[in-house]
Amino acid sequence: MVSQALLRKTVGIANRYITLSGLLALVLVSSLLSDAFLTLPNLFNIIRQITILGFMSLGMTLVILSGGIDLSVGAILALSAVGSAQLILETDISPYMVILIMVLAGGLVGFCNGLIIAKGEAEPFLVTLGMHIILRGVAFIICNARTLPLGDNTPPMIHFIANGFVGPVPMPVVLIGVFYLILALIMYHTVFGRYIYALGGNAEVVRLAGVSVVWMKVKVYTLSGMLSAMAGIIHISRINAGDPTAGDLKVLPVIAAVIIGGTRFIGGVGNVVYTVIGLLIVGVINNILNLLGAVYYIQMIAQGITVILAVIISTVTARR
Amino acid sequence: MTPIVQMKGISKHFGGVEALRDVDLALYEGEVLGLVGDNGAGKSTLVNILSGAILSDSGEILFRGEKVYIKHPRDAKRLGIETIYQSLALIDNLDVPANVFIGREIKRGSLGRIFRIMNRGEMEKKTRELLDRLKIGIESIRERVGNLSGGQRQSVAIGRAIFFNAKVLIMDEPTAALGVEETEKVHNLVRHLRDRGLAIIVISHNMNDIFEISDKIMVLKTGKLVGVRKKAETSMDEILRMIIFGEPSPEPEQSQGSGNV
Repeated sequence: MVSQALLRKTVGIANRYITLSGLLALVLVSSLLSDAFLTLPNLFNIIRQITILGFMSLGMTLVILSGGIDLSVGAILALSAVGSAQLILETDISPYMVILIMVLAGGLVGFCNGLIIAKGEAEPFLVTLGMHIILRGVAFIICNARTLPLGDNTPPMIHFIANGFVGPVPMPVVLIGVFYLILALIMYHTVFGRYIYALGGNAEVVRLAGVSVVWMKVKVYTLSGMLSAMAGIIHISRINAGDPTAGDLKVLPVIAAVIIGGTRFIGGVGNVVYTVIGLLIVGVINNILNLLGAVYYIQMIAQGITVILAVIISTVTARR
Repeated sequence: MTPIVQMKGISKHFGGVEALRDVDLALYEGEVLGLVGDNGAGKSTLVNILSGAILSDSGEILFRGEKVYIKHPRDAKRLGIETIYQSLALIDNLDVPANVFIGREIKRGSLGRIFRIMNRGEMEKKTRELLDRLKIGIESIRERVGNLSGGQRQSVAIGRAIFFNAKVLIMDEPTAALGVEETEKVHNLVRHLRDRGLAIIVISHNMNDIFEISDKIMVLKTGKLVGVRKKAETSMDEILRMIIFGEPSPEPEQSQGSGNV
């Protein structure tokens, strides 16, 4: 029994290091393939490129850890992007208010997701897929089915989010760092974090322990909605326009980053810090393919292969 | 003396199936009540109603003589009624302290209480003290409980149940998955807890188990109460007859009552 426990622990550690060593191997190979790879501007660039995915993956990690899934993250991003573009173009409210309104709107969507899933005991996969389609429709209505270019109307504060620097460090890198650090602390130290893990392990026991499972799920999906709305703000800051199709192909890379990082798909085991590693792997693969001049479709293929590999590795190590 | 728990006239249907019909139960402090019956007799349904996991259709529950409404596991816990389910209800992906304190985490002072920041060190310390007191050997309490042995898991479940000053302990098949030595340890633990004044209900299919630790034995058959016997005044034969045929053999006081008919 003792040796078995020890074995499982070793496998657990090895599993964690598989991801990390995978990332290091990727970095090594990439730096051999391209001289431009291992430079500070390029490394910052990678992180800047994964910022949008990063915010969605952060919420997704919590949702998956709690035993659920949120397929509406991409559509919430689009809603937030066109919503804030419309607010900037049509009203005089301050950019801070714009962000606040959109984050609250994303939170409201997540709240609805969580309430339907928890109260109706409905399958998260289908509920959030339905929500995804609803929000796509809403996003198209808001912008009249066209992209809303901001041009010179972008408030400097919004522009700063994706393009500014804090000292030598790009603002998106700061944002990602701060949010992941805060969420990592919350997950480790608070009752809220512990219940998320507990929900993914055995929701019935959590209920029997007197915890409101409904309220917990509502909170998790609300948070995911808010973080996806943040991703939408970063999106308009980067491309300087509100695009109703934004985030369309983002759901899989988001789930990929979480799973590649080593978070168990059925919930209960994982960590937001692992997700950072998963994100970096996704980011480095895209980046090196870019540097090598590969077309976008090749990146899609590479991403799909990485996800499948990650799933195989996590299944094999869990079984051992 | 008033019983600590009394259930009166409890009935419960699941769809068209009558799981319990007009069942009474009385449990005193410092007493182990063995609850027996064939599969489908209604044992689990009865204790699930007491623990708040399901609601009864009719009947009432008295706690220390006062009527109480147990509509949620929370209500039962507030009264000091703790349940150890056959599945043990452990969260396998969490470690020992997390399981012991689930739903009742110790929080840090002032600001920590507002943001519900856990005091992990304190919970680990308390868990170690608890395990020492119950003489439960687990090398690393930071191990996920899914990786522990059957006896260790049972001990964690018992430890969690009694940690918060339980008055009434309900145990559903506590030794079903255990070896001889671990079963003996659990029996000792039950006796130890009874001597400290706990009222304990044990559900078991194992007659040796029941006769080993119970003070009183209550028999159910197809949702109806067959009878209650003091262990000292009954035999395994009689209890088995009650379980199988659902008929109490005549008892002194009962034969007196029916003698007038």
